[in-house]
Amino acid sequence: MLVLLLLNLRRVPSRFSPTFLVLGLLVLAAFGDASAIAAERTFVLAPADLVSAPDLFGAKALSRSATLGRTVGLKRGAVRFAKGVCPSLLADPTRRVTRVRLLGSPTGAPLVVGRSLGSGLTNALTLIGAATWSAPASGATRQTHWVVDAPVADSVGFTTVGFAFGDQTGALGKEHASDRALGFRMNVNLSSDPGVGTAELAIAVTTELPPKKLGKPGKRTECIVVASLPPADLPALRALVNAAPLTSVTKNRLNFILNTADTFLARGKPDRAARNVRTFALEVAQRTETEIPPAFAEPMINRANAAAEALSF
Amino acid sequence: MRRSLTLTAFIALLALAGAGRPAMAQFPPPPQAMTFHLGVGDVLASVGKTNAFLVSLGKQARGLKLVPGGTKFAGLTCAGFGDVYKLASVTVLTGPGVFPARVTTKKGKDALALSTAFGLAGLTPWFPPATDAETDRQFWTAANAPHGIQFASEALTAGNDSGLLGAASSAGIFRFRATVPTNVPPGAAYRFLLELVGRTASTDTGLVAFGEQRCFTFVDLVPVDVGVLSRLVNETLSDAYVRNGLATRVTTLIQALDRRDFVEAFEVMAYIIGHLVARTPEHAEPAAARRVVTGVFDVRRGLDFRPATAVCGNGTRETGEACDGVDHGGFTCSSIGYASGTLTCQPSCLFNFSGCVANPVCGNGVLEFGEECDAGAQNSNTEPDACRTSCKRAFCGDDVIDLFEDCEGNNLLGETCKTLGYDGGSLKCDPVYCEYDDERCDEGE
Repeated sequence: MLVLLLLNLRRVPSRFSPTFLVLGLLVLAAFGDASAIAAERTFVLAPADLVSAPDLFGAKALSRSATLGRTVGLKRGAVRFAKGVCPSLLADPTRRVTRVRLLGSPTGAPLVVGRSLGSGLTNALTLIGAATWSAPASGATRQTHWVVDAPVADSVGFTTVGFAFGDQTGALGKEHASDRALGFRMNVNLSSDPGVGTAELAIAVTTELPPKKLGKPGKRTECIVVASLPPADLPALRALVNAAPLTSVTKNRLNFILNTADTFLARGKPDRAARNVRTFALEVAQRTETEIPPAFAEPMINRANAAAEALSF
Repeated sequence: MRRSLTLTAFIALLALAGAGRPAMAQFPPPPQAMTFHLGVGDVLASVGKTNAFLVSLGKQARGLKLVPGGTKFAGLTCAGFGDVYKLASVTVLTGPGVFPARVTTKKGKDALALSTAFGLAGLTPWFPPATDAETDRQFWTAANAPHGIQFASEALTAGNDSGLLGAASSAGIFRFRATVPTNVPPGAAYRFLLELVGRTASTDTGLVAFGEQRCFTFVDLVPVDVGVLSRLVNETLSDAYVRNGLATRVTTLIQALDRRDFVEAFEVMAYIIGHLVARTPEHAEPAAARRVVTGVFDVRRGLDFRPATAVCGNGTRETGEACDGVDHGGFTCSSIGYASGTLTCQPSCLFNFSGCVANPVCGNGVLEFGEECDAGAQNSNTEPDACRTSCKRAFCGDDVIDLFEDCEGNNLLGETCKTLGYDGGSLKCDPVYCEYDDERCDEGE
């Protein structure tokens, strides 16, 4: 349509003419549509991320409590967000994470957590700016004693193998606070591109105390956090390359490697794609200082390492 | 008799001393001075983190209340820092023992409550005075203060908005060197107690007096010293080949930094990162590799720091400068390791070594300037990873498959595209990195 309109114009419209404004709006709309297309993005988590999540989110929620109003509160020595209570795992070494569930977009989240927790959750997640995404999501885990949870409302989650009957084997606690080995992967169709930044994903973290009776789960608490997670995938690497002040030669070389990885991924060969991503990290490392400023190289290398691991799950 | 009693008493004393003294290995390593970079963003984020920690204490932080944007505890409100209250000063305090001197409200009850709560935070005890305190923020100064070291904006004394920092201006570093314990895991963060003073900007209050808020927080900082990187390499990498190879490079890095040869230091750092990336995950566990890479960039960030007061070209060597004009900081060609010559300073405040003359004797077993290594009779052109007879380290292209190399020239160690999992094609050896180049291997469909 834009092309047809341009072909019909006999001269370039003046800067403030109605035609120019219409053209401008059309261009904006065209680009706006492109950025709004949902795309599958990959996120990876380590035990340390999950163990520190309640504290990190508590800090964020408290800092923003002036605008969040009664959505945030204190309950039993923990920060409450919506109806979820987030006790610190770092402050209580007996408390452990046994289940993690990615919550859908603000409107989909209540479907995952159920009616009692879901009441008011949509409003709370909207207020704090949780990302929206379209179902289905998928996941994988290589964390020992953890499995991918049966999907609810096309979402994804992870539980310990013995979650149903209260066996806490493999549950994560304070001792995992420095365990940075990536153990969980989630794939989500995000509505908007986070670019070089992070996506605000709503996650329900189930924590529990040691069981008092054999064969019965300990007291469980559901905590709803909104975690700022950087995508670990090829689009994220491409965004980092494009945002860096690089010569066209360097940019083309790095994008070429990423395109090759994309090709292998499209062919269903994630291992080969992972190798290309490692090559990308290596090339960035070798060009650091000479062609790539260190401040831009560091996130590229770190994100590439995470992306390569995500592809190797 | 008297002599024998004296002897017995002496022996008993010796025995007692021996019994009371723990074994040598049980002594903690002595504290060490380390350099820390406290970012303005870290300071502002510390408010939320500390508030969340205080909440998690439950009954141990009795009286804690939620207020809009933060908490109120022991008479102090920690809310709206960087937003309503712009950062006006940051004091790094020595530990929770300072509260009675700094908080005198409610007959010491508030100080006691703060001491108890922050005592549970696992703060790092450090030994004042801190040294080398500097900042790259304009209108800020650094000075030793009672119970710690204070970074303060001019706003505090000038009565205006000079230097006030909000969330939008969160770039900037407060740098200091503190003596801290070293019995912590490599790469671990040290937790420092901070006292923050925030002020409302004049535009917020019009003609009304500035609003001020004082708040105690803690922040976790990892030192930016190369010693931390050395420990990370030696203590987190499990593969001996990778560990030893990189440890050698870290030694080279330390030497380059000692003589303020930043150009070589940057090259070595890029090398360390590159080879670590290339060996992950086959020879370096990914999580450990990530920590080491972060350690390298931490050191790199440390080198980037320039105090706001430093000016390259003013004839005085300052932090971040190898030299400035004729101020070489006492370095000469010979003190750096050259045989003779004249060391000069570039306009960019980096050394120019081109006037230095190296006169090394390769093969005498002494590492001299101009040599990458010298193992004397052990120098070899056929042994993997040996110092070559040219006194250069083993390198890609020396016809020997060394550490970090898959291949050399046409020697592919028997590997083909097929053995690497491809359907066929022609496997080559990358002449620059001595790694398998599989771009011409066929991918079956």
